[in-house]
Amino acid sequence: MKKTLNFIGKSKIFFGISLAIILIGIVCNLIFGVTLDIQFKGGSIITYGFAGEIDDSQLKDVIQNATPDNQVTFTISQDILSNTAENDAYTIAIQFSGETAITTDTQQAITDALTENFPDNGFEYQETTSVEASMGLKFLFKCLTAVAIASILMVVYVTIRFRRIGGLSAGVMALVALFHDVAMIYFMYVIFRMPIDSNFIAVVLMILGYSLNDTIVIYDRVREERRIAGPKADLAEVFNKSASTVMPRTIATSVTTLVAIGTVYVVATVFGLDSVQGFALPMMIGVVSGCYSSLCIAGPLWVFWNKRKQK
Amino acid sequence: MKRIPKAVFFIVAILILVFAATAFFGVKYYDGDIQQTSIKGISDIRWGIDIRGGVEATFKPAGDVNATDEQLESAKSIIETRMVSKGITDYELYADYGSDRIIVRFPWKEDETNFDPVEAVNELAATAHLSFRNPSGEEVMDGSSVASARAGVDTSQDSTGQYLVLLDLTDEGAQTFAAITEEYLNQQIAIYMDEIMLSNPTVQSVIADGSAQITGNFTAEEAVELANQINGGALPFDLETASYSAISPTLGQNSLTAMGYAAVIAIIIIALFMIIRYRVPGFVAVIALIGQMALSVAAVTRYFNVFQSFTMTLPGIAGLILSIGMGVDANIITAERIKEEFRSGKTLDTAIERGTKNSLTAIIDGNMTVVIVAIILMLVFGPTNILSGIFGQSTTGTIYAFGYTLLVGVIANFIMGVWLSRLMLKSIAGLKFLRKKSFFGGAGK
Repeated sequence: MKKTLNFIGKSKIFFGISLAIILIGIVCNLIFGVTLDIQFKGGSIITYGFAGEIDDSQLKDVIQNATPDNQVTFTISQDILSNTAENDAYTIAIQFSGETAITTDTQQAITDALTENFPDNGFEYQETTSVEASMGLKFLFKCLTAVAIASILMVVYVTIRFRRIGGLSAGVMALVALFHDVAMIYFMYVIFRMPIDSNFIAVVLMILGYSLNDTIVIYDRVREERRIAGPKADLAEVFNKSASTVMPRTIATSVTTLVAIGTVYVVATVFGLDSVQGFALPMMIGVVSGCYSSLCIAGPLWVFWNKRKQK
Repeated sequence: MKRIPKAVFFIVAILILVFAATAFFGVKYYDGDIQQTSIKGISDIRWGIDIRGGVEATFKPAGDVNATDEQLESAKSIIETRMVSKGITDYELYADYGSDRIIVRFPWKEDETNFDPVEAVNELAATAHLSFRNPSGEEVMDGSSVASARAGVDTSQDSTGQYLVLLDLTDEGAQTFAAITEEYLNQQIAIYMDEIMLSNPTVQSVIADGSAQITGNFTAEEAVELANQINGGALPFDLETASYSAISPTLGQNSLTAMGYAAVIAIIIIALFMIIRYRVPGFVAVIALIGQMALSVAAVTRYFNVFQSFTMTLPGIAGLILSIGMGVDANIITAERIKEEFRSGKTLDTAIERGTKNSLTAIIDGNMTVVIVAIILMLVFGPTNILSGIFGQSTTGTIYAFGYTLLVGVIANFIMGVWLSRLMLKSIAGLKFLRKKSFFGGAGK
């Protein structure tokens, strides 16, 4: 028989690690703040017309240098109306998240920088529009409500299916593990100063599902071991034994998932796709966190809750 | 263990592989010089703007209309409804209240070659004012009297099975319509969508039950389109297109190619890992995974050519990755369980029997909790929009896409990763030359 790993005995260290990361995240959040994408915050869009090919990353540097205070994103479009065979016409829309009024100074600085650095492309100012957030606070609240409904149903499901191992406590602790993972992903965005956009929501949703499954698989084993060991067995021992027997599965699943997402990250690096990297990296961190939180957060908390009740 | 005939493995495996080939590559044939598609493959998927790029259009009220914020808001939500009903779940929609502009971005259609962005933009900006007009051309009833519209087939006698649009009128609309049909009995009442006459039927009898129908030589697609347009409601003012342009993928050029490479590499690595670590169960798992992916892809392309493809965006891909991950996990859980049984000295048949049985609850509970999340996301962010009472009509399709791919992925996992995978495993275990514990992950002798 394989060695039993002692998860419960080391739980103080695990809680310490998680709390430390959360603290660092909160500190960073207070110092740097969090960047919200224009989809969430609204802002201004300045549009320029230009002709011919331009290197994206060079363009980004020029614009960013012209307006150091703002986190700039832009999209380039082919202008169908004025596009001709001899003259490739494009428009660039520079987005300023959260800045509903762009000063003429900023606008002038960008115009100057563009005409100076790309004299051959004939940059021409077209318009400035201010936009409301397309996914504003309302959207954020809607997401939260959806997640809250799903969480309640999930806890109900777990409470019923895992009533042998203290149902409600299992459900609530699974939920705590989920919050832990969402916090980890959020703080990764804060620490690496990535703007929170719709990709963030996709990553969070994926990790929620992944972490939930991980926790349930371990609970399932605890339920089974508990039945074999009988009601008088020490819960800490039961959990340690269950987690250790499921270990080969936990490792195999985490490794395959990490390798798959890691492949996306590497290929994105080869192709120079920042945005896909920015999607794959937090996802990998979420996979690690999801696996860690099931073993080291949800499990020990569940043991402590039920031990206290037994006394 | 109840023996499953050996032939079952080969039959199931071949069926899965054939299905996968059609779902991945599609079935196309040439009708003269024109390529026809009967089953859609991966190349027919409609990709979101983030991956493939698309169209950006700016609308403004026609003429000198000064739209109020409420009007602009309602115009925005109608455009939104139109996009969702056309299967475009990935879009960005902004309203600029200061200058009365609505900016919309949406992806290219599935087959770029036939895609006419001008037509698509015009469809979105159509006023969609449904009107019933009397013989002298005066409007006697409009779309606000219609509670709902749906496409149907003419089932009346001596009909040729024509497509038509059935209207259910509101209570008030039913009274109005009864009065109209009474007044204009044996005369013609024309039905217009904006300035286009759809049909001009003669009133044969007084219709008081609040139902009406529009016939007009529609194809099935046109009838569905028209019903959606009526359901979407009319814009509060005419819109004109201020500008439109093609936009490059927000994730960067080549993102689709890059993700294609990444997917192929990742699948090969996972397949090698499964086969090396778990031998026969791993091999069976790989076939089941191919089947699961094929089912998911088929659910996205909608497989048959008559259905419009679902729009795949990055969140949609995230849902797919998660469900495939859960599929891999289901197979790993089972294979590890079988290994455990070998370790406690069970025979081959008992180990497979007990291993598959003991792993079932973990897989079902894990997948069911994820199904709960997927369904809630679909209900909240999809066309049903169950929270519209609190948060208004607007929905965000990208999250719906996540729920959709996740749900179909998990269902596919139950069919392939749980049911068929076990069937194949029990069947292949009957092959004599494979009947060694080491082939199934047990310690070799």
